Amino acid sequence: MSIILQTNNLAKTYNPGTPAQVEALKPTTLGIRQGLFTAIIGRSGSGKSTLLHLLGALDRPSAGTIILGSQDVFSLNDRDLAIVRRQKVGFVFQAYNLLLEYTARENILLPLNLDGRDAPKDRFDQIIDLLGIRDRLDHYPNQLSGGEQQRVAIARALVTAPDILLADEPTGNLDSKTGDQVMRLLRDSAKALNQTLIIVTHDPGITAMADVLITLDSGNVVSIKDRTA
Amino acid sequence: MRLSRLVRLGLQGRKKDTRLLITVLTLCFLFITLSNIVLSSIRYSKEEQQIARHGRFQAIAFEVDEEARAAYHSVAPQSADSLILGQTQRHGLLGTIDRAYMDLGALTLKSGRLPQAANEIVLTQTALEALADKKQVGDSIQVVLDLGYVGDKAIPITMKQFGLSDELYQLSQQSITQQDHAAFELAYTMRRDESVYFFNIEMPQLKDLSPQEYEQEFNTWFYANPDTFGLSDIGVGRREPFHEDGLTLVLHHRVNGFKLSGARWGDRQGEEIILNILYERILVAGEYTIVGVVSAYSDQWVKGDFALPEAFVSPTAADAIRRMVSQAEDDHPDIPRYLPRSISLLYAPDLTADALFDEALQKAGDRRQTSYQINDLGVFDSTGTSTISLGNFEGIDELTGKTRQVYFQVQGSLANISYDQAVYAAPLTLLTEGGLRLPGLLPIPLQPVTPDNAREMTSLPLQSNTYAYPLEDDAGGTLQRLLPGLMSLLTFIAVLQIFLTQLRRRAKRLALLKALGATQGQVAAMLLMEAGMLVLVALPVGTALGLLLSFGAVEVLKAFQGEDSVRLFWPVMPLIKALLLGALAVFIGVLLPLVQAVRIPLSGAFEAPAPAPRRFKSSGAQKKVTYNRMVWRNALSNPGRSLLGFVLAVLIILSPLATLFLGFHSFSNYRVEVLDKARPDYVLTMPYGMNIRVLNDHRDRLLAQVPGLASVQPWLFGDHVGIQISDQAFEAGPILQWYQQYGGAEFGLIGAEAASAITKTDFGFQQGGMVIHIDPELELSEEEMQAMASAETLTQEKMDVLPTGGAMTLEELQARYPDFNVEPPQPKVEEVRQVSYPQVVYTALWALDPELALLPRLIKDLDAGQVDEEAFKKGEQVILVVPRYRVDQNDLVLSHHPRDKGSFMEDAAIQPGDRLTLHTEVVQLAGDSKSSMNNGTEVTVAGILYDYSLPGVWPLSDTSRSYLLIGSQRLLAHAYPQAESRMTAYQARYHRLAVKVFYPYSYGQTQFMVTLANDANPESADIAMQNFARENALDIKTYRTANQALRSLAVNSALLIAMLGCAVFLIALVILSSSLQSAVQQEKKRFGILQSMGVTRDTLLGGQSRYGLVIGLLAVLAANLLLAMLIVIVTALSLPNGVSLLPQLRFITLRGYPLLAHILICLGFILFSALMHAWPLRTIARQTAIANILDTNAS
Ligand SMILES: Nc1ncnc2c1ncn2[C@@H]1O[C@H](COP(=O)(O)OP(=O)(O)OP(=O)(O)O)[C@@H](O)[C@H]1O
Ligand SMILES: [Mg+2]
Repeated sequence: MSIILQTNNLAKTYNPGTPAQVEALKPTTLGIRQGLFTAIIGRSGSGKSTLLHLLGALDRPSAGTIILGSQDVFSLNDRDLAIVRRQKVGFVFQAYNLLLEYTARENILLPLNLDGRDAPKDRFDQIIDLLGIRDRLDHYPNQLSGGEQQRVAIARALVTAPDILLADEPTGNLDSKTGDQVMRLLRDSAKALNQTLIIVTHDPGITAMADVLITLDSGNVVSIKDRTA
Repeated sequence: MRLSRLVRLGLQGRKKDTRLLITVLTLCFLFITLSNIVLSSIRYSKEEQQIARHGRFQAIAFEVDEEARAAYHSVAPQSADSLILGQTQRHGLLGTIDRAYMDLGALTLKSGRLPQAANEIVLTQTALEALADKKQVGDSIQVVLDLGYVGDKAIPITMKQFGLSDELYQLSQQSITQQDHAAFELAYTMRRDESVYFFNIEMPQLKDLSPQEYEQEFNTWFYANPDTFGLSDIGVGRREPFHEDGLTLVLHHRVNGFKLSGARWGDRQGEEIILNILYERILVAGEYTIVGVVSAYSDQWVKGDFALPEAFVSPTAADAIRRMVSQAEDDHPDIPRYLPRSISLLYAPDLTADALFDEALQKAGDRRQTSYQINDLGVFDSTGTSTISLGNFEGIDELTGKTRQVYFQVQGSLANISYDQAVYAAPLTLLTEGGLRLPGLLPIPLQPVTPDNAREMTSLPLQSNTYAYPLEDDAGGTLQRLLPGLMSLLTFIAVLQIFLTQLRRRAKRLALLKALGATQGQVAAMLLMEAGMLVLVALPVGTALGLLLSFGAVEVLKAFQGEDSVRLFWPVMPLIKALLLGALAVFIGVLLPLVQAVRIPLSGAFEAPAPAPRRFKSSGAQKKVTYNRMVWRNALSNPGRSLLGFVLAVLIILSPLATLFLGFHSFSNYRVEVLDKARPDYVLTMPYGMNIRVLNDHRDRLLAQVPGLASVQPWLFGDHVGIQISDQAFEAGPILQWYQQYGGAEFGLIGAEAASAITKTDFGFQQGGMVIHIDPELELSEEEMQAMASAETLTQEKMDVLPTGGAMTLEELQARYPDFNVEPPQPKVEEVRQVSYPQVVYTALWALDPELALLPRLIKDLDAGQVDEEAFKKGEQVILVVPRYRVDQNDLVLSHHPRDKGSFMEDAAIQPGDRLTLHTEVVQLAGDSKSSMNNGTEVTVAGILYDYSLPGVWPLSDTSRSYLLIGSQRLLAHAYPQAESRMTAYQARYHRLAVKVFYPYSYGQTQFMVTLANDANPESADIAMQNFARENALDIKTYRTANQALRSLAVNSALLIAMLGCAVFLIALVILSSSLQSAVQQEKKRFGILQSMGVTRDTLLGGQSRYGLVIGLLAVLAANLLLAMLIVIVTALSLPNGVSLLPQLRFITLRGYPLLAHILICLGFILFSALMHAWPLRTIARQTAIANILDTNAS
């Protein structure tokens, strides 16, 4: 299987040159294979979120590059980077990050609309059915439960059919049963849509489902376990 | 931890809020300080200047007797008085002077010192310059004090006519031929009164003239002074003179003596002298040394109808005079006592001018004299006899209680009154000054003094010094008083707004504090303490900055209005009060937030219940969400904040727009009164039409002599031009008909009255004391009259009654015209037959200076017809100015304003091409009589003007006359052959009197419209203009101060408005920009989410600036709407009756409005709004998505 995302000496240092300097991610070189479910684990503060944000091009690295497909992502200008992001990457945040003044449906369609695209009807239906939020589509975020909000956030990430789906502790705020459900959904839908899924998690259940397991410690990748091999 | 420390830490913690509050409060205090200082500087400087110019006294009282003096001094103990000793024959009133009077009156010594010894005197600059022989400090002058007419009643007389004695005639002839007028004066004096006589008329210096010129000049002079030469009534007797202290006192009794008749001097017919003792007066004469000169002031003091002294002596000198007069009075108990009155300058530092006036009026009472009411001092000419003025006055008949008219004739200084079949004589002054009483005739009761009319009454002996203490009822004054309140209101609103928004964000923290055990009182105390700390910082900083800025503002004002216009004043108490008011506003501003803070529930849920999501109904199909829509959705989802932003945006754009309009509008009075009318700074008037050469000569000298003149426009002017209107035209002229029916001031005479004024009865001559009138039916043609005039048989000796100026005896006339059929002289010849024209209206003819570029402009403006410039200049064509009219509730409203085109109607009585005959009166003086005749001039009305374009042309823009004629100077010269005059200043001075009384219309008038250059020194120009006017005997009317006052009032109001506008603008701007900033900060996460979804930086910034653009546009629309409402309201409030709103808006309110500036401000604001909305986003847009999402220090 081909590598969709390749990092080369990717590193992130916060507040460089100040007493508050943190080397959140030490130079890291790794490849994420397409279509697989990759889980990133590690202790709190080990740099998981930092890595994930960089992989999603939500943040700029201090050093190193990311090749997405064949493109050096960070050599792009802001605008092109934004376009790459909206076309290739879907992101599910730990805190859902829905826009409060939009209904679930609008939130889901937002990335597409912002890209000037229409949602393919069947795909949209497929996603919301998969996530079971059809009867919640006209609700506003504050009328939804946490799990429902998370599912809307996942739908929003899936709807653009991104090549890569990134999720940062998507179930952190959910009870374990719901978390499990959501996780499964995420995995299943990714599989169904042939998307590459990268998830940061503490949940051993999720870890068990992953194809590839990347472990971080103090900003270093300490192990990469490939279960497909 | 102490509460204050908690507060301080809190303030430091919320840096942005605190900084915003301090900025806004500092701005508020800055503007409070600035406006206070600038306004006080303007007001006090103005007051200081007014006081320096018009005196510190708050009111002035005239004719103050002992009783009144006590009353006035009880009200105003710091008052000063000048005892008026009497009227001098050359220097006006003579009064006493002391330091206090000088100080209160802001009089300054131009040179020398105040008088001390009994023989010392000071004169005003005016009085000094009026002396014929140039006198200066150190010279001595003869002062003759006339204590006035002591007789107070009219005396019945018998009228007889006399001729001037041969002897006197010889004398006068002699002196003329010898050109030795000094000898004439001497001889005349000797002949006239063998005892004591003060010859007080100066002869002109005419020695260099040729004998012919001399005779001509002499005649003019002679006739201008009938009084002196005994043309009417004079005789002077005397009683013993007293001598004491270098003073001479003479008691005069005047007699009504001989009277001239006959055609010429030397005609002894009917000479007879009857002496009637008429009245007596006391004259005191003395030699005085001029020890000082006092600044001219009589035109700078409020004086109503009363006169001010022009010469002053010391109290010592006054005592000497009083002693002498009392002694004479004691010796002659038959003479009523002369009671000297004072002029009091009233001053009480603790009272306002208004309060002092009211109190003084209440204490001392009305004190006006009742009098008969003089209605008409008309002119009546009877051909061939001496000219007399006729008038009538009204009194109340004691028996019937009804008003009764009494006719009188004026001869010299005597009024001959026909009353109850008898003729009474009285000094004319007794009549005009109101002291005259006839048996059985009561004076007209006075209109009672009320608080409302007291200040306008010029006849009231108490006058408020409104020059120094003007009533502040203008818009600027109101605004000025309101300003501190407005600034405090602004402070209040700003504080309220900021605290309220801040509270949202602080709710959690406050709830936490309460959860930790803070009481409600502590929370309240905390907020109050916060306000206190803010004031503690902002107050001194704002005040200091305001003080600093006010220096600059005063400098700006100086640059605008001149170095001396304004001086920096520190209004300590008012400033402190205003600042305290501002600080109070801060505390009041936190009250409402305080109540809310106290009520915050422990959960901190104050901000919690997120506004119920608004349903954005999307009809049918789901609308696609674009970024632009998102921006709007977001704005609408927080309507409170968005509305606030919008309101602030409206305020920000409204404040410069309203400032522009109100500033512009504050100039509207100045514009309407000065600019639109092109009102000059000075108008010089000469009561006769100068010939063009003299005119230009005057103009050139004026330009050379007075520094800093921008322009001098001479105009010739003929008042009282009769236009003959045909019956048909009359039918077509509603204005004419209206006036025929109801009368009106815009026309002189009309209809039958006018017809009697234009008669051909002048065709006649006089023989043997009788007037013979030629049959008007005879209808001599113009040529025949010309022929008669040029015939050798016409002698200059006889009365010249023909229009051409010649005259002939009856025999001569008959010899020349054999079929001239005249009945033999009959005794009843006084009967006058008239040829009357059916419709004649009187109006004015203005003659254009051909050098003015005005004619082409007027021609361009014509509403009808076409003017041929050449024919116009030749005097063949005229332009007729007819107002538009409208009938409004039985009243005819006329208008020359372009605004009223369309809403007013046009009168078509006279149309282009019509021919008009202009009737002017020509008065000729020959020998000892005067004749008057009608001079007809034919012209074509080439063009008609219904309105003057703006700005107007002074003096046309100042007159409301109907059927006004504009012609050339040649036409005027034609219509007024005598207007081609050239006189010396001396002659002109006397001529003016003569013209006023005897022949007001026949000499035309000359006016010079003088405008100062911008950089001229106004004070020195004033003096130079006054001097020029005096030297050339011109009347001067000064508009300069009024023009300047209007302008500086406008500038001050505009400044005030600008200051207020600036304050509103800045404060609203600070609040808006900070609220935008914090809004964006609060939304940081939102932006991050959007970024994470791939929204680019350009889209973010673009969306925000587009939003700003639209908000700006909407705000501009709203502001313009509000402004339009304001404009309509302002206009509607000032709307004259019957004028519709649109023309008023177009021509009055908005004419000249700087629309371009307005549009630029609007456009600039829209761009600015876009920038301002996008600006806070730019750092966020630069950051990465994750940084924005995770950044939680959003507040
Ligand atoms: N914006 C930032 N500025 C400074 N330091 C940061 C910033 N974000 C993260 N860090 C630091 O970088 C390190 C890695 O943080 P990161 O969020 O990647 O950890 P994590 O593995 O996701 O932890 P957790 O499981 O608790 O979410 C931590 O030590 C953190 O303190
Ligand atoms: Mg993390």
